[in-house]
Amino acid sequence: MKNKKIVVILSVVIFLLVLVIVGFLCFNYIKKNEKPKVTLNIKTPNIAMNSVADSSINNSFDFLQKVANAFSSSYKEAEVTVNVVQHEQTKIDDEITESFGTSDAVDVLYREYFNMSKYIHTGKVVPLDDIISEDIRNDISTNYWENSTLNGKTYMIPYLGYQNTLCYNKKLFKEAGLDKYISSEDIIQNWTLDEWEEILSTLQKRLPENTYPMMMYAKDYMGDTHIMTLLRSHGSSFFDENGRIKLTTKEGIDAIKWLMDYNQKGYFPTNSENLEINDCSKLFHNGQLAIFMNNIALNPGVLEDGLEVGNVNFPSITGNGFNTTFITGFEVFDNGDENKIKVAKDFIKFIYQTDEFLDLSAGQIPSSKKVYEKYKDKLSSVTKYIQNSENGWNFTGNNPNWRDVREVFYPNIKDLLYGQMSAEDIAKKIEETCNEKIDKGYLNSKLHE
Amino acid sequence: MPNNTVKKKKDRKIYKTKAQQKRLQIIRNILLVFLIIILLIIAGIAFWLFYSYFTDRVIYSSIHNMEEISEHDKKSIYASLEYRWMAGESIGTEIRQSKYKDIKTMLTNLNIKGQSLEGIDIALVTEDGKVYNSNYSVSEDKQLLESISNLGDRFVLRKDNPDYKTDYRKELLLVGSKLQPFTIEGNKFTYIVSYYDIDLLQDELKIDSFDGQGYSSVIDSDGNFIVYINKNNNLFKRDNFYDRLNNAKLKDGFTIQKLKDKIASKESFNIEYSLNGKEYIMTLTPMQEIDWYFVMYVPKVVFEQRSSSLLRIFTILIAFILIVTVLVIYLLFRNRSQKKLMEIDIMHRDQLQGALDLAKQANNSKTNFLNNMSHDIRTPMNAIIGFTTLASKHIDDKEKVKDYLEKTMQSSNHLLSLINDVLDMSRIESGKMNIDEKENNIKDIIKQIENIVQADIDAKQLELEVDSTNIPHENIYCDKLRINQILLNLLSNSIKFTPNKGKILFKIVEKSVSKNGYGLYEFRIKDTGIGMSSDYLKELFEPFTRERNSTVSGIQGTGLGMSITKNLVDMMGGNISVKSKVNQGTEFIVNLKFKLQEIHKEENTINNLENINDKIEDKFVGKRILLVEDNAMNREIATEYLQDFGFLVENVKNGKEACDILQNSKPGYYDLVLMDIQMPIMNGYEATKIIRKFENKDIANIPILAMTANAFEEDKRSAIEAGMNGHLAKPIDIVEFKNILKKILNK
Repeated sequence: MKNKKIVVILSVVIFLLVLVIVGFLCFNYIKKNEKPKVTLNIKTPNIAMNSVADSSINNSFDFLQKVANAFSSSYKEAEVTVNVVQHEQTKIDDEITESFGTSDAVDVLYREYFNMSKYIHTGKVVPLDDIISEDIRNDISTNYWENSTLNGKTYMIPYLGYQNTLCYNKKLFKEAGLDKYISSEDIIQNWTLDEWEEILSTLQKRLPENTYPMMMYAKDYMGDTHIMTLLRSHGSSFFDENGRIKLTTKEGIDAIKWLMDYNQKGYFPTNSENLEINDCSKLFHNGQLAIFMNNIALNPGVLEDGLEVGNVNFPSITGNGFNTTFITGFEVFDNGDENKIKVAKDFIKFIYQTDEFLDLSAGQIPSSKKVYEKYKDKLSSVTKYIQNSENGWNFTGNNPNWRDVREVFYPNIKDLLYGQMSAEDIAKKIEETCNEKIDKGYLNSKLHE
Repeated sequence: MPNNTVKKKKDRKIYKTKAQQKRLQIIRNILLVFLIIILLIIAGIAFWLFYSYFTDRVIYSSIHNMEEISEHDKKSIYASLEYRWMAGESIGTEIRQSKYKDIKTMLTNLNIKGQSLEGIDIALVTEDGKVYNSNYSVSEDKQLLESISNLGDRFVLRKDNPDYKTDYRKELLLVGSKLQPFTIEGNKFTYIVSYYDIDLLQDELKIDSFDGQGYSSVIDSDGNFIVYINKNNNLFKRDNFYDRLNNAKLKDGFTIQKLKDKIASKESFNIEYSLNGKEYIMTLTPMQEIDWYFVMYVPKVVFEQRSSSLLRIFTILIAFILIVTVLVIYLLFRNRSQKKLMEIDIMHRDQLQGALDLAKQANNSKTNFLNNMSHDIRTPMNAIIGFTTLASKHIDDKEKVKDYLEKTMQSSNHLLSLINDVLDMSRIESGKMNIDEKENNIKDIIKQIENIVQADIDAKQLELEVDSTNIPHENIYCDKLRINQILLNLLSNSIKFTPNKGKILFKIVEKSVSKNGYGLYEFRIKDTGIGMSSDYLKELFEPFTRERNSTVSGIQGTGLGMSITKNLVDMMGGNISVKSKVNQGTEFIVNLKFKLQEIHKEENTINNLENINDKIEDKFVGKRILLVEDNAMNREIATEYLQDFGFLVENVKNGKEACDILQNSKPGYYDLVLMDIQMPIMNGYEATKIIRKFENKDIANIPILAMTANAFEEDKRSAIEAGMNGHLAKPIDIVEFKNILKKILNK
């Protein structure tokens, strides 16, 4: 009787074990042959974007959503769900860092290089050399690749560029009697510092009430690259050979003094330290500001408001002014899922290997030469930027902590505009506060292999 | 035998209990399983009811929580707005009071003062819709004026950012107040408006309620979200509240229109809906003073999780209690059963032990009996053998031969009585002893008994006093044989155990007569004998017991006599009692009931030698008897008997020889067949059946008498059923034989 019981129990146990093993094997077999399910999170801030290839594209979200729809329906190697998420420019950094380790973590980021290069130093951004074919590499300028590379590896892939220059309201210039400085050609002008002085002083005298000569702001970090560019006006390279900000030179201090002087003279809106770049934008669009910044994406809006503008480089002591080139492209993040990384890279490849989607960059300065060649008749406004590209400068210095640098830079400009500190002190303060962040960035930097 | 009967009854009782026990156990197990199933079903139903009720209560409580959180968040929003209204109004008042002479100065100051608000901008609005912003921009926005002029002294509204293309903010929150108007450069300022990021109120909301799964938002009357419903929501998912619910399944009869109507009527309410496979509960409460609604929704699964975690604990607890209860019941039940089984076991063991003890005792008694029997049988056998040997040696000495033969007869009688006693006990044990009541005279019975014992009385010079004077009704129905057996046994014991010259009183009294014609008779036999110990008195009526065995006492006995006597008395419905003291004598008192009637006396004893020479009736002389007997000695004895009576006797040794010889005989050659039953080759029954089937009917119908050592009723019945005409017990009682012959041969 006892033996029978043992036999029965053993039989049941063995049967259950066999069932479990068979079930496990079947499950594994099914899983193996099953297509993986991948959800891809593509994030971008609100970047204005016009495309001559598709007039429905107004911003980066439109562009990415279009690509996402095509990719998810055509991709064979996995069941892909693509989430395109757009965040506000001032909030996207928090959204990205807070989402690491969650299901909302960014897999592909489409953003300006200078805003996203810092992520490379977190070790989360994967090199993309394996998906950059010879064709792709040859199709994009060396300059763009240089900006995309760190320690010999390509961590970003450029899609298009913006070139920010200054622009001027031709009507206000005319009203101020500055006709000679108005160009009839669609070019990017360069003025000498003396010419700048003449222009701004004339504007200050002759513009009506509540109309101001030139933009200036320091309420937040938005638009700080323009201020930095102005600090190069007197010959300062802004960065030293080690990538640290260097303004305590004669050139740097002269530039600071120059800005302080401009402020004193009323070339900037009163209490401009309380203004954002958007306030200046509003003034410009209202016809209350003569000189603002512009780029190819913003230009249509300017034209919509009935403004006739001319473009001019930021001032330089050499006479050949500066522009700030914003490369916008892609980064791929490693969130610990090999499948996701593969699909993310395939998404990028899909864009660069599909003419329809590469063509959408035509409207800004496309990174692809063949796209420019294809649409250059429609991209007449791009030509001047391409011709002006040699005046561009690397305003991040490729340092790994640009975000934090921006947070500490603009308060120094506030001090500059307050006028309570000397130029030397301001230069010193800029160096100290910003370089501390740069050093911290290098200390914590790790790159993904 | 009473003890044996009791033993058998006990055995049957033990057997019945075990079978019953097994059946009971099965029934109990089935009942237990049934009970458990019922309990589980009841528990399941109770749990389901409780779960539903519990979940409803949790949901109700959670909705209450939601309403409380909503109130809290609303208060936070009001507080935040209140601060901004006051800040804006303060700035407006300050500017008014500053009495600026020009717009530029005013704007410069507005720019500075606006920084304290931590908003985007602050603007003053004129009565004709001009907007003077702290960022110095001046624009005309009649639409803004129109929208704020109907909103009262304080207002807050959501606005699409007209500068969205250049400004990264898609929506703005306008917080404004009506001012005491003031004029600068001809511009009459009536409102002050602050612009804030639409996220301003986000932080005022407890969006981490319900473990981060509770979502709060604020909508305006058009369903536009004032506050994002989810902090992590991206720009392009800020859709309209009503649009969002278009794809939802609203419950409780709600429609989008009904929703709008309720919101328009500023009602607080809850709705349940499902969207994308998930169920939600939403509370909507109006915000007073401003045209907004506070919306909070929580996935229903959150409540279910809350209730389920509690319920899980509760279920585990209940399950644990149930399991423990079932286990306890089972264990108690099992313990009880085991206890009962143990008790029954113990009882069985005790019974078995008792039976074993009895068996041992009986075995011992039987062993003793057999020992005694062996002795007691051998003793008369020795006498028979011895005396017959002596008789053969002194064959010429008639006197000696007569003496020897008489003694042989005595020993034979004694031996016969021994055998009869054993047979009687056997019959009594097997329930085959019958009381054969016939007409008898009690005084004749007593007289006969007196005669029987007289010789023994004389031999021991005992004084026998027989008192039967007090018997008004002498004629009764009774089994004379058994009465004799009882009384003779008692008397013979008295004679045996009373020393020489002792006294025996035999008194019979008719004690009473019942209405239905029964008389109660008391028989007293009192002696002055050796008496019996009190210990032995307890076992007196047990079989195979004697206080002293025959070797020690020198008194022969079977040890069955008293037991037989007791059984016979019990069978007759009477009672027997005894009083005895060692060396003082013994008194037996037997009470028996008899039906009253006149009786004729009968005797059933073996005739003594003097009766053997009774005259043989002439008609038996020359009758030929075929004697079928396998035992040579019995065959010789029977042959001699029969020949002495004038029969012609022929012998065969078994039934087959009998059949053969009869078949080959002439009809009428044989007058009678005396057939033994137990024979080799063919027994008497078989032979009789064959004979009865003979073709020749004369031969077939020849009278056949069974001749057996057994005189049980069933033997008689078997003989008749086999076709025999009668039954004769061995040794042949010639009187009975003659009576039977008369009946048969006279037919």
